[in-house]
Amino acid sequence: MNYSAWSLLRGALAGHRNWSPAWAPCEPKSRYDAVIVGGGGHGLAAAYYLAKNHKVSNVAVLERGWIGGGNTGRNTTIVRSNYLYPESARLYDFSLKLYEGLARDINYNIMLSQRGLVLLAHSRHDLDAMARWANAMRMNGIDAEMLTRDQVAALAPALDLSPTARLPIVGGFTQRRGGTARHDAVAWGYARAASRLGVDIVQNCEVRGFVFESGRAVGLETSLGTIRTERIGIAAAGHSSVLAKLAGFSLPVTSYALQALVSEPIKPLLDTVVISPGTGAYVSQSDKGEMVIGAMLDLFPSYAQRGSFAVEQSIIAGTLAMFPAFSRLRMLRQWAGIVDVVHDSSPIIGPTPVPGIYINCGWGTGGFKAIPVGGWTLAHVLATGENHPLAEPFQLERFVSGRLIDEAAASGIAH
Amino acid sequence: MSSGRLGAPFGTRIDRTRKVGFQFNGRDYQGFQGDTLASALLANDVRLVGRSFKLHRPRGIFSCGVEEPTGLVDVGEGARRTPNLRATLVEVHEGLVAASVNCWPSVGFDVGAVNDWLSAMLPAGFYYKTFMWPDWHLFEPWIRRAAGLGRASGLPDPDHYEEISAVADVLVVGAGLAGLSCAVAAAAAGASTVLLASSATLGGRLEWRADPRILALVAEARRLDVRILTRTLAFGVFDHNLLCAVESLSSITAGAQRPQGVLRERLWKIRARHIVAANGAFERPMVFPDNDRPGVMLAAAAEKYAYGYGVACGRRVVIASNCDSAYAVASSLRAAGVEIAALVERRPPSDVAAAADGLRVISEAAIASVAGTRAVHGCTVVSVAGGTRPEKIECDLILSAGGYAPAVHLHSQAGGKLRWLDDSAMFVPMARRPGSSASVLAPVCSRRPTRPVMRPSLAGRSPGEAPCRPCPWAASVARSRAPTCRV
Amino acid sequence: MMQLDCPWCGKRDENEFVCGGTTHIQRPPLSASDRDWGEYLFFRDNPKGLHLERWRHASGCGQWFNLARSTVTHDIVSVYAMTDPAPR
Repeated sequence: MNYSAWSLLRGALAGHRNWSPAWAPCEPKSRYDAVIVGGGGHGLAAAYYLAKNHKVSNVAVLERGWIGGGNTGRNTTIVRSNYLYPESARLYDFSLKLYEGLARDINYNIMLSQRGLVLLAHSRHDLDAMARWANAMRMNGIDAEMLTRDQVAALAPALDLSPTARLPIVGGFTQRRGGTARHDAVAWGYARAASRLGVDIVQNCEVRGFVFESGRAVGLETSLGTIRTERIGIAAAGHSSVLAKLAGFSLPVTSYALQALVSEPIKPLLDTVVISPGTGAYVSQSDKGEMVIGAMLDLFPSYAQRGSFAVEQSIIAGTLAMFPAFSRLRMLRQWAGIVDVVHDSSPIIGPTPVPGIYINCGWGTGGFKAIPVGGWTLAHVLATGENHPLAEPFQLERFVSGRLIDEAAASGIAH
Repeated sequence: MSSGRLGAPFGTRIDRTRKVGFQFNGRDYQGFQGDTLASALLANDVRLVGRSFKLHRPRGIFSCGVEEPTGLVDVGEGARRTPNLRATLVEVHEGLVAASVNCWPSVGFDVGAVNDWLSAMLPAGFYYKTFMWPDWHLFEPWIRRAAGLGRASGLPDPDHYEEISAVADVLVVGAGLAGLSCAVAAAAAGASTVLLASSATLGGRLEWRADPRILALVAEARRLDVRILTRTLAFGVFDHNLLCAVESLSSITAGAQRPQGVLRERLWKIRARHIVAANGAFERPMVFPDNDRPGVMLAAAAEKYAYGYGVACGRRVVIASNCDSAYAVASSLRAAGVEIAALVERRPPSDVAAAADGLRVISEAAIASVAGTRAVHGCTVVSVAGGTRPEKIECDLILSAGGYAPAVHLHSQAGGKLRWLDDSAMFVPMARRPGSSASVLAPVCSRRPTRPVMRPSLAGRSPGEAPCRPCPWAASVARSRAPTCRV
Repeated sequence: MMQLDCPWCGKRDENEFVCGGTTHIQRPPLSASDRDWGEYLFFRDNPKGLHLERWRHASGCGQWFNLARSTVTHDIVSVYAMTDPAPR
């Protein structure tokens, strides 16, 4: 059933008893053409694009817990494509363009808010580095503008722009097409759209092993039985190494906790996304009124989804250095995801050393903005066996050949 | 004396010799030293305090403590404006300025109330199903303005905050009967013990009753050098038993004219070998249509307002109940001069303990509707078993006595799991592995007559009776030199 | 915030330390292949469970030591010297 204002009116007249489930809960079949391991945004998007772009709908998404319960439900909802290298620029901007048409495409309001992204410069050197960065973006066809101090003040008046600020603001740069999107809506929207095209979405199904024949993966052992398939796509973020180990290959991934927190809901005070490379903190205000805050990783490996209090304090200190007015707000909730970090902060999308198994991982702290392109390119390689041109530079082999795409150094964004 | 105020000896927490003037939504009111903003407003017959988040339904004071869901106010002006404080926790001081949240132009006439008329079109998640055409950006500014509750000042905070660390053998969170008993037992066995109380006075649910057991335990705790922190709210347990808590200092008690930059709060980071969560229990609401109207409150809250603050929340009361605790509240309120029009009892007569003389009990009944939107003025009671006609009862206060459920928040935040008890319809902490932080439940009312239930989660202890006996677990833990425990 | 038991300084809060990642990794000789170098530099087990890792007391004595810690519960099972072999 189609979602629209009209459907809400019809629902109202029927006492809201007429809605069909957004996706059909189901037990897995014993055989599929393709199976995707991981029911987060990337896995669900891959299933959707497999069905939509490649007409492969005999597909299952297997999720250990509930869909979108991992990093997709734990991020700070920022979307942007301000990367430095041409390969990254093409990849992330394709994703942002997909986000721009996504609500209509999947008939689900993902609340894409292109309210702009402001990166703060705290020194003359920051301005120089940002000018280089903005120029690289523009050379790659992506919108970017340098900002004066007054322009930053106009975009985010709640910032501490005084001369006595802990980190004085001398200017910045912006990507106006960047902003936020509602993370749960992205997961649920893709799930509903995939389900409508015939994909099975299976929750509470844990993959415990793989089935091999002549060195090729031909199936999976799960908590709900054995499933045979021709192609397996792993989109499991922080748990990529766990699955790789079950499959018998190795990854250059380390899993860390990345924390986020939200404040109590207040009336609008911040209308754009603000990022300070100086403190590492990034802040936006959700449509519900909560300040959504994130920053640097907890710098030791963790699967705990909790986060260290010492790091939480640093995150808040960085936020208050930018927005001293937030000091009297209470934080309502704090949590962490499990981010799969690789050394060059660029993803791995493509085949693995195990025939039949493909992987989409390594997005680290930057996976949410890339859900559409991650799904698109994983679907492509699952359907055709060939890498999508956008994904070709991001292969596992680069960690042996040395052809890293080092966005960690390049765009200075902590991944 | 305003119409809501009861004469002495009611009001153990207020000082009638010290009047306090404050402002709410631009109007001046009087209260007494010791009042909270909630008790002072109720004493002044102010029922309508705020509006709900989405539908802007009129809302009032619902409880008498930290569990307040609807009495949210912005307090202070200029750079000291603090949004979304619970009126039940704000202590009035001379010159306090407070305002309702999420309403315009006023809480009495709120343009946002149109959402309530449109509520059929606004079910949960309605915004996912529409606003796609022509573009979400057209609708977003209006949604953002309608959302959010209080308003932050946008100015830098002039006050100061400090951070302090501490170490303890046993850290007890909660200074009610259970928490005080544990702290005393631990200290008596030689453990360095810290006790945290979120309110200004000790005793938990008994704090306003001058209970002799509490007084004795507090005296003993002080004698044993238990470090007691009041106005200190534990907000999280982190790796390796680090418990963090925030202590409120000057902002609540200081006068309006304060010097530049006072010390407002202190962050405590306490590393403890053992943490005991003795957070007590919350009373639950009964479920019936429009149970969020101003004038619908928790039963024990009305009792606490009457005895602790000398405030009658209503003069003619209907109590909706499914458990025995409602009967004690009914007797208490009658002794304060409040008329109990009826006690609407969900259970059949066989399940009910003996009721007091003169109390009208309607058995196997429930409230079907509430009359009044800005303030309750009546309700309709129907029989659940069927057969009798609905009855309209006039009243200005409806109390919910839905039984008590343990406050499991700290246990859950620390990573503890919960277990569902079918017969009492509540979640309780599941036992943790030996040697780690423990949870101690306060006595809770069960639906069957009276046995208080205390279920410490460590093995080897059977459900006890009144928890005022020294807590042997705490003593044995204090004596042990077990390895560092884990969260 | 964890509390680590530095072999020289005793129990100190985690923010005095820097984590150096997985320990007991032997650097291959310079003559090793690109593949071996790549695996040494980048590929890791990243276990969900017991992890042997090395830490430096950066805001204290500055010394390195090894730890066996769970990446799920953050329980520390043992602390041992950089020169000691992996515990069983």
